[in-house]
Amino acid sequence: MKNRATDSSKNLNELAKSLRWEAGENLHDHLVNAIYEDAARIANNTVGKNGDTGKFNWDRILDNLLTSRITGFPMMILLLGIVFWITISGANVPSSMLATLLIDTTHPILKSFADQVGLPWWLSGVLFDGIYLAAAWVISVMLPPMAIFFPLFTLLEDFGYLPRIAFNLDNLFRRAGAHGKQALTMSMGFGCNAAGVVAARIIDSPRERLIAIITNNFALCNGRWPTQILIATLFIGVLASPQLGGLAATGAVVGIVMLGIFFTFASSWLLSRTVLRGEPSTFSLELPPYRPPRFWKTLYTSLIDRTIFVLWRAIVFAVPAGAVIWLIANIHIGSATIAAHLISFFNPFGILIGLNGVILLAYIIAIPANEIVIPTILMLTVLSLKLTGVGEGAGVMFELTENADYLRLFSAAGWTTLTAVNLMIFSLVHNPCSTTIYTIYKETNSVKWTTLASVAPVIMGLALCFFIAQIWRIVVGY
Amino acid sequence: MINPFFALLIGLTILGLIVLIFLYGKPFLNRLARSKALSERIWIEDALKHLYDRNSYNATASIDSVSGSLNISRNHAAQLLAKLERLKLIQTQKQNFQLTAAGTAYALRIIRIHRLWELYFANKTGFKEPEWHSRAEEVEHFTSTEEADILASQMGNPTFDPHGAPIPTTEGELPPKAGISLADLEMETMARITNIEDEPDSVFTALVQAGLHPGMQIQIIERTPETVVLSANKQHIPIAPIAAANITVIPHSPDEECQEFENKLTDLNIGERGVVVHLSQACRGLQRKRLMDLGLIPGTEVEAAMRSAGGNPVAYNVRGALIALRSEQADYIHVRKVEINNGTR
Repeated sequence: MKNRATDSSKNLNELAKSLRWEAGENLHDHLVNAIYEDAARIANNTVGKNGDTGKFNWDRILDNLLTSRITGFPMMILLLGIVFWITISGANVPSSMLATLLIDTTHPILKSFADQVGLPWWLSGVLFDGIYLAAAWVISVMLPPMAIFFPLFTLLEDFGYLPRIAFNLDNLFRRAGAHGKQALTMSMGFGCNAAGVVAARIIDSPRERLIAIITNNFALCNGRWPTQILIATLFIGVLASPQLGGLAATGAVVGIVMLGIFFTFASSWLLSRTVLRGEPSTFSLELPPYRPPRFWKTLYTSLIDRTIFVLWRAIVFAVPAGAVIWLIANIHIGSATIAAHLISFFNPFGILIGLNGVILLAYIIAIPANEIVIPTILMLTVLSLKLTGVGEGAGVMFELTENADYLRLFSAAGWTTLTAVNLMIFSLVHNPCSTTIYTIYKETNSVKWTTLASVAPVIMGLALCFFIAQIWRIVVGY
Repeated sequence: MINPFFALLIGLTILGLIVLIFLYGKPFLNRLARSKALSERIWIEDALKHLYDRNSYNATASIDSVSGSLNISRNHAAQLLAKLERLKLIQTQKQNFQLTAAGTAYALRIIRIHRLWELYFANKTGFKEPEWHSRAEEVEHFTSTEEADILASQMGNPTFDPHGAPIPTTEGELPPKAGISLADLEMETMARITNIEDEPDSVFTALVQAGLHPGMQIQIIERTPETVVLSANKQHIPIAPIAAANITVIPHSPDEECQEFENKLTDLNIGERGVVVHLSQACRGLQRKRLMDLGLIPGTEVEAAMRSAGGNPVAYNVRGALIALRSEQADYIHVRKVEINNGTR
């Protein structure tokens, strides 16, 4: 009996071994087919169908309008144009209100409160001039555009239009080795790169998702728009005649945005053919039926999930930066402050690439948020020129109201048109802010891709500035 | 300040150097990384694989064949074979080198690792077909038996590599050889490709570019000393006779169903319908899984619904959902057109 049992189990093993080869390599296919057959049978038995309703045709009519060769692209430009216009024009008012409240009103109150309580000057400096001001600045510049942009964008998403944009633009992105949905993450990046990186979750193909994450930085985020507009108005606008000055400045900013889009495609193309070649790739894009957006739910989730989430991350990073900015402008080593030492250290290299030491230092210490780059540059410029009567004192960020005041300060610091052009270029092509870097790490879970996404753009930006500076000096002169 | 001309010159030189290193640096770095002892082991393993190949086809293995296959001098090949003999991995019989039992086991282990890696590159990465073999060649020498077992279990203990060759089991077992060489296939007989030799590189790449892959149904419709013309999926594919010898096929048994199809999904105009016949075997890994998950399996009715404004992705109505597919994906899906009049909705 025992013998027979071992015998038959031996036979069974032999049988299994020989059958193993006959099962073939398409076992998985057969399994999926069987599952679908079962599911279809169950569905046929239990699910009733009412036939095609009118809604289906309504979808087709909308799709004919929104995805046809003739009307597809104009409709897209129109809808996205409206969203951007509402964001930019609508954000100005609440932004200046917040700035008045947090910076012009609350900051002096806090300072005088500190004096009354008798806090030492350095503590009140770090706390209120450093930390508080950095956080306040980030909130007032960042919150309003995001609070307008994200809900609008989410409404379009909920309506079912965003997948159609991806559908229309996919051919373009396909040639760059990317996914059509990158059009959406890129648009989101114009609001905030950190949000754009999070939005890349909608791309389910690993390679294309990494491409979207790494190249999102080339979408000019709303922290960088003010810098571009200010510098273009001050330096590019004056190159044209007074009537055309505004047009020239606008053209310069649009040009920078276009350059950013070009870099997105170029670096997507390069990435998909080099370092990301081995990542698996697939394409699928479902076009859900249109439906009326759920307004309040959308408003709530986009405010909580996107706006507050991103804002909180930005504040967390701005707080230590505020302290650092104040401290390096106030701690003396020898006869000069740390900031002054660093500026004279960076200056030779800064000048070589057509920028200067102040700008490079500002980009290093203002890494948490692009919003505070210009205030930091102003503060450091005043500090390094040892000016009195301009600004709020060492380590206190500020902004000016008159363009003429800006020009006077910048020309005193030796800025030229080359400095302005390179600052605009470098503002577009440099490392993502630390909020975005942290988000990239959270999303990819990889030090390698985070490093690539952070370091590659800085090297690119420095190289670009270097070559522009040399060619400028040869062609235009010093 | 540095003279801008001078600075520009230095900058361009550095840029040029970086591009050069990027384009041509890899083989150089690889050579640096290989120590002498390591490269000796690589030679041995490559020689064993070659000898196994020769032995299993009952072809003679000689110093010349080893030197030719490994691309080394005859001198080096002779030294290598002498070393293998000292290690008791091979024995000489009348000018022919035969693997010993130990040698066969060693060779099968390397072949197992090689084919597992090929399958890995085919299914789990985005590398294209011509690269699978060479990448597997690079990593196979650095993979232990245990690592290979982990790799195998992660892929569900697969039985065949992407070229259709069986993967030896941990014990070194292989199925009995099946199929015949395409060179021996009779004219006009339907047959299914089971294996395409991945060596030599140039022949394999030519076959891949001709669109041939394991699982495909073919027949020979013309045979001259210069070319063999295959018919597959209503297309005529001419290949060189020497390439035909690198393809293994199994002739159809009469009861096996024919997977002939008329059209690819891309052939459907907007508004036309088709029933999926099958998914091309060239569609693998994540890509295949995704398409099947979407319900694109044999028997599913698909309607081409609309073309995007950019032209390329086309949205198809699949089981009630609107799914956009790029043309290179839709090419993998073979369909039989459904006449609108007969079609029931």
